[in-house]
Amino acid sequence: MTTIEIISRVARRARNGGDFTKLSLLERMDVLSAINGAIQEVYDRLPIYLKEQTDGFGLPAPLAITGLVVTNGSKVVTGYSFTAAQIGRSILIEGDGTVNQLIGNGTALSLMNEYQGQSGTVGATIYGDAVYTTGAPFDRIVGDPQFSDQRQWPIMRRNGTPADYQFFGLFQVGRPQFWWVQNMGNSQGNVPTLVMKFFPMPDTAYNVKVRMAYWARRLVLADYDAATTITVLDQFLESALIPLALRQFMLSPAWEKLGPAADKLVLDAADRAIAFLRNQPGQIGAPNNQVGTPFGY
Amino acid sequence: MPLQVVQVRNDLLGKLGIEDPTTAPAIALDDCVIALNAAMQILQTAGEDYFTRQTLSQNISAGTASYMIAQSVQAILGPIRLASTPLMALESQGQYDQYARIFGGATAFGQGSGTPKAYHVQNLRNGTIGDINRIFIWLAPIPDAFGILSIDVVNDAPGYVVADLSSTAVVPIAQSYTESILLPIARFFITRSTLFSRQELLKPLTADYQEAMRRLGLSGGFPNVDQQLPRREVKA
Repeated sequence: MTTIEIISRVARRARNGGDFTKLSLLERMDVLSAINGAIQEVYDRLPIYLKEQTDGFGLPAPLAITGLVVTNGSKVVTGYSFTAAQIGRSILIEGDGTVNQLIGNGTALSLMNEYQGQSGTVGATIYGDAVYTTGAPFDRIVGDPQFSDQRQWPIMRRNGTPADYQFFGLFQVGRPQFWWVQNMGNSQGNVPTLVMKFFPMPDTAYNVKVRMAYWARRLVLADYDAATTITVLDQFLESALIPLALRQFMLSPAWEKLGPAADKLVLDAADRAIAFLRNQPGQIGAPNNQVGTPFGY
Repeated sequence: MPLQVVQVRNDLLGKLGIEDPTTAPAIALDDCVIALNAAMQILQTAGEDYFTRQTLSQNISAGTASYMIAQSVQAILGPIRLASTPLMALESQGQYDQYARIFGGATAFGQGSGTPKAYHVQNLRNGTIGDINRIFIWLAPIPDAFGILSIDVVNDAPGYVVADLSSTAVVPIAQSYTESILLPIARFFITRSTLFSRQELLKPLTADYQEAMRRLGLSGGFPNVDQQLPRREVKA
């Protein structure tokens, strides 16, 4: 189903007679918001496997750079054009005995800690020990990352922080064995939301696969223009998505008020949609035991 | 046979008790013009789907945000189309002023530049004589290339003067439903003339007027979203 098709169906309950082509742009955005809310409700209640995909990431080999202009006591470095992909990676700067980290919002990279060496122009080594994903609303990491070579063990999760460096010793470089999540402060508007850190820092290039779950992509005005296909499986459209979108649309001034009895029909349909979503198998590839098992287990 | 303007005049004069139009005083002819124009204005404001919709063509050019519509246009009916693509209506000047911020994720005020996606209809006072309404259409984003808009509009009602009353031109009414809709409305307004003295006609003319207004609704005028459409039943 395309964005236009579902807007047309949900806007049947608009107060202008149910013709979305007569809605103002703001009212169409109301419909779009209702659909986005419904999509998020659908995925909130569906099993995780419907949000999951396996992403591949590269952990690059150590990269030696030169011409880095550093200032004692400053977190800002210049003279080298860092890339967004390097956010979160460790950097060892000549003249400073501690491992620092590249952090930033977008491409405005700076250091996690102040540079403690002498001011000047120095060289440095960037270690490919962090990855993050862009362009999708992140939900969670499912399981441990694996090297692309299936014969090797997955990298094990460690409930750690950068302080683990001290436990294993500074500057340990080798084949990554552990990983952890470092949150970057999304509530402060930082991008990315988080990075996956690996330890030891890669001694050479590695490819890893990570099972990750993503929230459904939000529909925006560009989706309306391009009539893109919405990101919900067909079997959940009429049974769940549209009833939930109608309930969300009730919050808009563009909703056609037909009275409490008519509204109750919409609310009841939304409740049935939620029950339907909760009744989906919790996993695929294995029998689903529903005997005596309450919803949610 | 479609009714002519002169026939409408004669009918209205008859309600004033003037059987010979050549003897009609100027004030009677003035009242006929008023009654006829009033009836035409009612039809022209009866609703966008009462056969008053006309399509204008308007060229747009890169860098120009607003376009002035002809003075004779009474109202813009949406949606405006750019080639075959319908544009979306904005509800206020404020939405237009912050189009890029509200709908485009931008940080700066304004509309940005590109292929227009939305429009705002602005009604401004223009002058101090006659029709003082002038309509402007503002496009967002501001066009970056030439294009042609198709704009459905309602034009102003025809305005007759005394000199027109002897015309044999056919009165412009949808389906030529002059007798059932236009005349009853015009006759009702002629009863407001100072020359109207036939009080026995007032009640039936008022009833005819009310029936004509009801029929106007059935014919597509004054569409009322709260009113159920009449059922169309066929009896054996």
